[in-house]
Amino acid sequence: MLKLPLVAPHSVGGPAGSAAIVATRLEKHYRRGGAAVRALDGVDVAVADGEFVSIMGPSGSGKSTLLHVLGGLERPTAGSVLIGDTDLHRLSDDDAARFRRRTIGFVFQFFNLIPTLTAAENVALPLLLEGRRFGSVRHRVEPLLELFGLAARARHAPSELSGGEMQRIALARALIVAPRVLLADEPTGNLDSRTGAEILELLRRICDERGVTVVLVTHDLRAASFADRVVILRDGRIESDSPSQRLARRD
Amino acid sequence: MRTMRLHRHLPLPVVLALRAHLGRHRALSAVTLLAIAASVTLATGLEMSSRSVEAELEQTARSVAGAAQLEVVGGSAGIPESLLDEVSAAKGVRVAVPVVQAAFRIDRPDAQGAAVQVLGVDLLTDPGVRAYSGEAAVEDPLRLLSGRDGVIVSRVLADRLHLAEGDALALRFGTSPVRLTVRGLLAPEGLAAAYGGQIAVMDVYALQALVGRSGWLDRIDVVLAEGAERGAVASAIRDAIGPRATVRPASARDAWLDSALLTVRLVVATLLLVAILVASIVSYSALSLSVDRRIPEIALLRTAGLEPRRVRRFLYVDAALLALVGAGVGALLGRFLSAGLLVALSWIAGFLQGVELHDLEVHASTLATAVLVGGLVAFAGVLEPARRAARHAPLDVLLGGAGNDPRGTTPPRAAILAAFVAVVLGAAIMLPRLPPILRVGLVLVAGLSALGLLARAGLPTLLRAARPTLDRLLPGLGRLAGASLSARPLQTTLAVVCVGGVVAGITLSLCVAESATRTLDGWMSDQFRGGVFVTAGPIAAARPDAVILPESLRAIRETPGVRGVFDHVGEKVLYQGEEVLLAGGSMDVMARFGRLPVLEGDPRAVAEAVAAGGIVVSDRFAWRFGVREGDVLSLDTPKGLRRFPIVGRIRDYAGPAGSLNLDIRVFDDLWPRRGSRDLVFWTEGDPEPVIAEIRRRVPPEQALFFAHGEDLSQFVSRLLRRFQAILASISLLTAALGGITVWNLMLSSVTARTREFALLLATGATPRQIRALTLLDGLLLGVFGGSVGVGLGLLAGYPVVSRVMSDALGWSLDFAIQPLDLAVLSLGLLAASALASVYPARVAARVPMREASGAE
Repeated sequence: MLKLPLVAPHSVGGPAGSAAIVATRLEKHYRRGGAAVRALDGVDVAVADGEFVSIMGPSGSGKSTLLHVLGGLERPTAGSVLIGDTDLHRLSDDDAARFRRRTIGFVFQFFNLIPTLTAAENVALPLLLEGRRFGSVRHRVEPLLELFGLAARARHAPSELSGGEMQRIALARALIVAPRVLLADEPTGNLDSRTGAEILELLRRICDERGVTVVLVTHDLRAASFADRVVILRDGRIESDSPSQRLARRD
Repeated sequence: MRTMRLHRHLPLPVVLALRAHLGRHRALSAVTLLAIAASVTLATGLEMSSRSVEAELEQTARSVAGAAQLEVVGGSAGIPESLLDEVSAAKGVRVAVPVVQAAFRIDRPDAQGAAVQVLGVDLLTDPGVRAYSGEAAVEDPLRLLSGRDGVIVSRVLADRLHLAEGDALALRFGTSPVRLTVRGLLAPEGLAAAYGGQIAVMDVYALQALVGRSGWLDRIDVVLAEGAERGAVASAIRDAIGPRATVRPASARDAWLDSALLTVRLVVATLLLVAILVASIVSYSALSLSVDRRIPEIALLRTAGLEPRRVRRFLYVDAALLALVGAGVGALLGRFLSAGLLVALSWIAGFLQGVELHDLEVHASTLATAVLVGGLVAFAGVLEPARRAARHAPLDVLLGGAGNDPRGTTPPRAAILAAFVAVVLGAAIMLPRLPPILRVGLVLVAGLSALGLLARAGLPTLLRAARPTLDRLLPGLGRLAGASLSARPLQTTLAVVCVGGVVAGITLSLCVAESATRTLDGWMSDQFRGGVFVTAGPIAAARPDAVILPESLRAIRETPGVRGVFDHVGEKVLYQGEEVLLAGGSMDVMARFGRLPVLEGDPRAVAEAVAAGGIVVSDRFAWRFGVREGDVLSLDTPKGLRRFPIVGRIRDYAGPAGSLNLDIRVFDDLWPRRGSRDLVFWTEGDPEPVIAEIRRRVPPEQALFFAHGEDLSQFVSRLLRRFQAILASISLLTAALGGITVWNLMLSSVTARTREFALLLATGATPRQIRALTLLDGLLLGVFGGSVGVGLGLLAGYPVVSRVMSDALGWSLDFAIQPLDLAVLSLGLLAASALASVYPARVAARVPMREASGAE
């Protein structure tokens, strides 16, 4: 079992009860072929500091698009996203990149490690992008690898790691800058059920013990049950927004 | 509807290929098509024009040789005409005819200096050797003999110049104007068909007088009596004339034909090779990108049950379609290009300038060339991408691994490649009697293979080792440097070979140019220090027929202020069957004022020994014929065998067989000459007033060009200018090739690393950082390729300068390199690499971040 420190090494959340994410009237339109697609159609959602929210919905409902817009990976056609006090989409490209680097962590389904970097270097990636040398950030990487049970794999290339190990490296990379928000897009979609459960457990603990706000996009009801709240999207609109216990009971 | 029809009538590979070429990938398909069509245009143009030129050369050889079976020659110096009677009287000789041949230029504005070969023959006997057919003149040779300016021209030439019998034909010989009168016309067959019809015939004695060779012939053509055996007749002639001239089969003269054909074929082959190489690289770049973008489509086909080998076949069909269209378009355009190429090749062939050759026809060989070149370019472009596409695991692609190339699945065949390099290099070094060009070719092949080996094995190691340093130099980005190069190992190898090969070639050329400049510069200024160099034509561009006339030499000698004149002449003579330069010079003057470039001993003492009747040989001659100081050299001369003690060895740049150097008085005693090839004089004080006085004194028709001091260095530069111009063109072309390769590699790597860049952007990398990273990789490629290229170029440069140049041209050069040239080359390469990476860097920085999650 992985062990995380009971107390976060440094506080990353905002004032208790304040909103980490506030998305207002989000719209995202595409043109695919000749047809217009409304991936998001007036979505309003707020996530409190330290909250674990799961976004669910059928394929094409807009859940991945919502996650991308919340993380600044895509610009909305209309609406705004506040992370803390910062209106993410009013920032320039460079400022948005810096903001993401310091405030938001991402975990994806396909692990997405840089194949030419070692496991340790992959974890250090956001700090390297800050212009820090690997030698100067090693002291922050090694404890994280230790915590995730990957100290022995530090010098290994991604191609030498298992799926679970790669996803843990991706999680460690997301946490290296102590982000305020962690956005996870189907992080267990490519893992077996046991490893998937370990990752979800880890996300839960990151939220509970570090106070990191977690937004998880998933198809999996069992994964969603790890969240405090479940938002269900359909055709780009929020169909329901309720505590996960209710969903679990229904299940 | 159209789609439906396609589905009904065409096989799936063709349908998919057509949709790719006409649809989403039409820009890349157009680039490939352009490359194929351009190379086919050049190839078919060259095929048609060179076929025409070669046919003309062979026709000329046949027409001029006629029925002659033996010839008596003496190099460009010629043979005394007194030999004619002795040759004619030899047993087994049916007829022996004298020949003098000279190249004139047409002196009319509308002819643009086109060449006319004038053959001086004895028209009473020559029809026994060559075929004449025409009106009036040959039936009545006395008409030709009646005037010293009478000439019979080919009807083709007469038609071109609108000449009729009785008209004046204005020509120039060297710088001297000549006026001849047309006395007859030759029908365009037999001799008149030679040189594309740019031929005229006149009486041999009249031509001798015209070109200042009275009493001397270029050769005697011999027809054997019926039943006579050629070897026996040759022996009989040798017995009759002794060592005053060389007797050889008339076919030996075909050496000039072989040489002209070789030049044409070499130029054609080089142009074709470069065109195919450039087109293949462009085609590879475009097809590689096109295939990269079609990977998801291919993965889908794989999932639907398409085998890897059929994936390759699908892509080969793509290439075949492009080749077919490109070959068709290229063949059509080639017909138009061939006319222009014909003019260029005629000029290169040496004597066909101004000749209108009409035999430009599309043969089966033209179409075969089009299909072959088109196919070659298309398949050279598609082979590697097809192999790569077939190796992609379909599920990886469909489930989100599209950006990840299947790396390292093929074990590097380093051992085989290393063995190949060793064998080729060994052959280049060890094999004796290998033609120099082949030796250079083998070294290049070995070098390029070594580059590939180094890139495949050394680059990843080097990148790994360099990362900590790069991390220190470029905090943050350093550790990510080189990822683009690792993403495409095969393309990276190709790019390194291309960039390294380009740089090695340029470095090698720089070595040769610098070594030649410094050596020649030193040779000229040392030999004639303080002297004024004089020629009858522009220095370094004077034609051999431009000479300083005896009266001009006399005027220079008598000009006040001139202390001494080194009179110099040179002719080609045959020594042991090879043409060597025989030079005569005023050695007493050289001993007093100049400095003979001797390899050993006192220059002055050696010059005095030559003045006293000795001979100095060039180092090349000594090496080629195995002679040394103290030996006695036996030389066939027009006045019989002469023996000369070798009193020294000098360095010169006369050619592969080297030179023999005598005192001018000995030369004049044995060989004829119209004047001086060049001369050097020394003055008391400032040479300029003396030069002005000389200009006033020499006859007005004498053109003189003077060079001294700094001019002499410029003379060397001028000598090398043409070489440097070629070098610059090659450098530009190769730099463009290197740029295309880097561009292709970087763009292809960016395509392969889409998700990686998206992840970096999502993780917080700024677009500027992504651009910098891609540019850095381009620069790393440039630095690596450039460094190994410079190293290889320097390694190859030394043997090329010290050995190959000597073997091929007879030039003994001192190895030299200008560090500034290398610095400029390196900077240029870095700039080209950075420039080639700009667009890929922009593409990388604009990758949509949603790609990081694998979402559509």
